[in-house]
Amino acid sequence: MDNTQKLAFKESLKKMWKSDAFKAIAVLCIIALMSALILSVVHRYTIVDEEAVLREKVGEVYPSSPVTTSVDVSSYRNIDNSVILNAFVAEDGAYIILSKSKKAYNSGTGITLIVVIKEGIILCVQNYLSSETPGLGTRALKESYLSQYVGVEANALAVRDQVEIRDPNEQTVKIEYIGGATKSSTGVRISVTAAATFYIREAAK
Amino acid sequence: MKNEKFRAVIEPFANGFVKNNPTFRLVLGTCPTLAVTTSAMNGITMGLATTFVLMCSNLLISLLRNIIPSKVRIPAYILIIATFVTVVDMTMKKFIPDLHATLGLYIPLIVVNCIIMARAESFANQNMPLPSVMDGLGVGLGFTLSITLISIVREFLGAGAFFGMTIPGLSDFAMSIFIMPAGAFLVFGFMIVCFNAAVKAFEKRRAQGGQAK
Repeated sequence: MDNTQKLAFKESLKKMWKSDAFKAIAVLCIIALMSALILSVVHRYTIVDEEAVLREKVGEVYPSSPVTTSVDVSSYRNIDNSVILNAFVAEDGAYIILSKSKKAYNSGTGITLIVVIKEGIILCVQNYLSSETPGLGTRALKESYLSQYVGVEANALAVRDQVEIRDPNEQTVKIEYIGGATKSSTGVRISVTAAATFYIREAAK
Repeated sequence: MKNEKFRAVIEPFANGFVKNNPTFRLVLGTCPTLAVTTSAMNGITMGLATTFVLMCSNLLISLLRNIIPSKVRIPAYILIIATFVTVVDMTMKKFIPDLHATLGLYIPLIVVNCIIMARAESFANQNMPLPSVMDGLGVGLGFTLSITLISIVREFLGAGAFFGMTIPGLSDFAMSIFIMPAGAFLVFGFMIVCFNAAVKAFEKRRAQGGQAK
């Protein structure tokens, strides 16, 4: 590269530096880098170990026996409008199932419940994650409402095959719905039904 | 001179509450105002999250106002605002997961909250960092106060509760329409009327007082 070529190259660099487009790109890149730096620092201190949080919550819900094994739910065929997110087996054989209903008033978040089933009987139902309307949909997530499922046989709630849940009266268990919070009540029912179905299928293995 | 400087810093803060009140005067940020004001706790959390984003983005935009080329100022603002919204989102997820789940999508949507864009474009872009931060704080707290008021009214009438605590006797007669979207519009409209009537009455009285002097 001779001197004239070097000069021309320097000139073109100077021109580029002064051009609006280059300046705009450079400023945006600097801001993006700054953002990445801030976010990486914040992420370092706010990272959530979801597995640990879940295990802690499961321990609170079912303190009588420590959770030993985690059940693989990745290959499980979910029933309609529901997802089994996670399942654990406690030392005494109780299943602690994290079941999500896609049907809810706020269908974006859905209704995720922790359902404990032991020897075919539902022992406990608790709200894990939901964003139903406060004072309205949340009534279906209160312990007083959820307790109607306690003591119910999983077998009576479970869905056979891949049948969609239609009329709740078709099933043998009578479940109360809350007026004004029908969608939330339906979400709770779907979630508990999904957990019961999962338990029955696991128990049959 | 000192007084003028002090005024330049304090005035934007005070204006945020009444003169530039984003909810009742400028009618900005209506989407979260209507959507998340179902409970007082939701309202206050949303307001404080927005205040934090407003303050930080105003500060950064004010610091970079001479560097950011005007042609790319909007993408630059969005980048800056999105950064702070993500910070709020991650922090809330870590420390208040239940409220984070309740507010859901409305936290990331702070990015497109027109209050923040409006303050960035009309104030932070033309002013020094300290007044910009005070403007962000004032407008943010004005927004927080407004949506908390709306939330309290909606929760009280719609669920018979106050900050999540059920009021005995009242919850049985709660009018659930106030928790529903229709109730949000009703309460919002009614409060705009009340706020503006009160401000007008106050200004009228002040003008009369000034004339008498």
